[in-house]
Amino acid sequence: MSNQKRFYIVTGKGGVGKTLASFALAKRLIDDGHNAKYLTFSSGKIEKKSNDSSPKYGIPHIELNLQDCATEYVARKMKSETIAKWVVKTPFFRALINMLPGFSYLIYLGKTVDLLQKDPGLTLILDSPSSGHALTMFESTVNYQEIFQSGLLFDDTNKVINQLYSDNFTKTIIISLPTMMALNESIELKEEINQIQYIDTTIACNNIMSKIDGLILEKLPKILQDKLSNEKEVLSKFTEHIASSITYFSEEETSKVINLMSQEVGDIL
Amino acid sequence: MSFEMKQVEIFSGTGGVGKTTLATSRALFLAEQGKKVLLITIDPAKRLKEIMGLDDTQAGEIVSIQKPFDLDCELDVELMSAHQTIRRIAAKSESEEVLNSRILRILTKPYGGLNEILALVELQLNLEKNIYDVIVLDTPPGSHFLDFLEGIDKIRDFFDQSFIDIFNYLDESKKSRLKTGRKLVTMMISSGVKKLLDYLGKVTGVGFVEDFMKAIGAIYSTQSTFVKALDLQQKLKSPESANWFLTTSVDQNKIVDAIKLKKNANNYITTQSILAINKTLASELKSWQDDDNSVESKLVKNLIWKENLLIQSLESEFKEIIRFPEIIHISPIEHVTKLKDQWKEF
Repeated sequence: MSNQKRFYIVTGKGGVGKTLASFALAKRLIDDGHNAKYLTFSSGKIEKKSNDSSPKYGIPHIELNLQDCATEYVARKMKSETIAKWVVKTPFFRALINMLPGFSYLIYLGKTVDLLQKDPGLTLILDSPSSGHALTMFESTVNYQEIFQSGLLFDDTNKVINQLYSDNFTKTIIISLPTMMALNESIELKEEINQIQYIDTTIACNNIMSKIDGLILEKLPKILQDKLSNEKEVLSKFTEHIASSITYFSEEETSKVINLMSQEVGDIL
Repeated sequence: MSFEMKQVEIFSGTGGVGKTTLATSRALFLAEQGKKVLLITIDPAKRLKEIMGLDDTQAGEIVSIQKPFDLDCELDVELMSAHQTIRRIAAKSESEEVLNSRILRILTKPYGGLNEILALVELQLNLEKNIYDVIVLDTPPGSHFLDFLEGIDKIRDFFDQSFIDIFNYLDESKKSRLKTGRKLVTMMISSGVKKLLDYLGKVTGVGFVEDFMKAIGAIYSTQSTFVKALDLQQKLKSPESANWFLTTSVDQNKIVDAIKLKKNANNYITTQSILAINKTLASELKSWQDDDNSVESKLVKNLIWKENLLIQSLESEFKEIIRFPEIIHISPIEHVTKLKDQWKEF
């Protein structure tokens, strides 16, 4: 883990195990003595919502809320919290932000960079939106740089971009599943992320049954034997693209799965 | 268990569950029965592209596929492209401005963020053609399906009459059409827009504010097309005109998400919701009894447990549950054609 980063973005198609993998990564970092936290963005809309930042499975959690982040930013620029609260609440501002979901990511990423700069010992693991929207998030920084062109927001957008894309700061982890489609899609996503701006991006394949310790293929029902040979065939086709692989854990309790997973994810970091 | 084909059939799901594959299999099933079918995907992940062998240059166009997968039928498919939809909107509203706006060009990039809202317009434009018996819609994964549904509210908020008047006033090119007098001034003060723009100018630079005004003006010039998409709300809410398939699969731990999605979506969509469970294995596995403590037995039990948990947690929420077996095959084409035949069972 000599190459440890400050900000890990865990992404991938919905349902591939991003949330569990994010917890496992955070747990791994914490167990290794780091100050790591699990991060979520509450929604792309300006709305009053109570934040659920309580620890999950013993892992510290930060949930950011768009209204709070936007108010904080505007307040800093206007040097007045009263004006900021008013601006963010105007129907116009609300309608604008709600129409431009990409803009909300810029606000969230700005706040994230802010948190990381204020606390140099902190590492954040973002459980990010599923694949298509992860790209909206990455593109938002570049798009708004292009949209603003000059002015304070342009400068601030640049600051966010420069920090996110600086050496050893950000790493994107695409969680995938051992199927043709899932892996093809992950590779496509990786290429698209790299096209926007080069970011250290890696693919981790989750739920691999053939990695289960001591599993004997012949002892399984026929349908699972087929499933496993299919899985092996797929994995062999994609070896060069998969940086790490995570076992399928036959556990009912989520905390147990996170524990077991955290022992396997060290090479992703 | 039965349900009839409806004019709009929407597939949504938590993502990675085979939503596109199921939507495609449904479209093929209906096409094989001689229906005139359009299949649209607004999922930016564009799995449909992979399944149907399309390429990106065909995005935004309706492609007629003769004898898809050697089946004796015809199917129209479209990979939604925000940019092409904007072009159609411009043509319909006779507004070139919307194409020339720098800001809109950026925002209608594939991941610019306007996809969901434009998808509503695209669906409406295709319904207006009146040539399809059914439009099958494959939506973005998970909560972004809600972005799509909420697009209706967003459009309504955005085209609220008071804003329209204000922008007509602020947009130089429209000065001639402007309403003057005390009423407008009062409106502007009460909405706070002018003051807000003064602040905005300080932060973003005046150039942005001008470009931004132009972009807003351009969108407003196409207002009628957008507002027509609001008609969709009625359509989606009516069980007579829409079927909603919430797709999930047993290899995912997404029960809470599915329930949440259902609850939120109910404000917008027909209550005629059908839960489609993909990749079921339990019926095959149940016959395999082995009660030792081996890893194999633990795995089988875990798979059955997951599937039962999913069904138990969701069955009270839905009118119908339909199941699709896991298809173990490497080729997506094989998946689609096998799933297509499964629809006969329902």
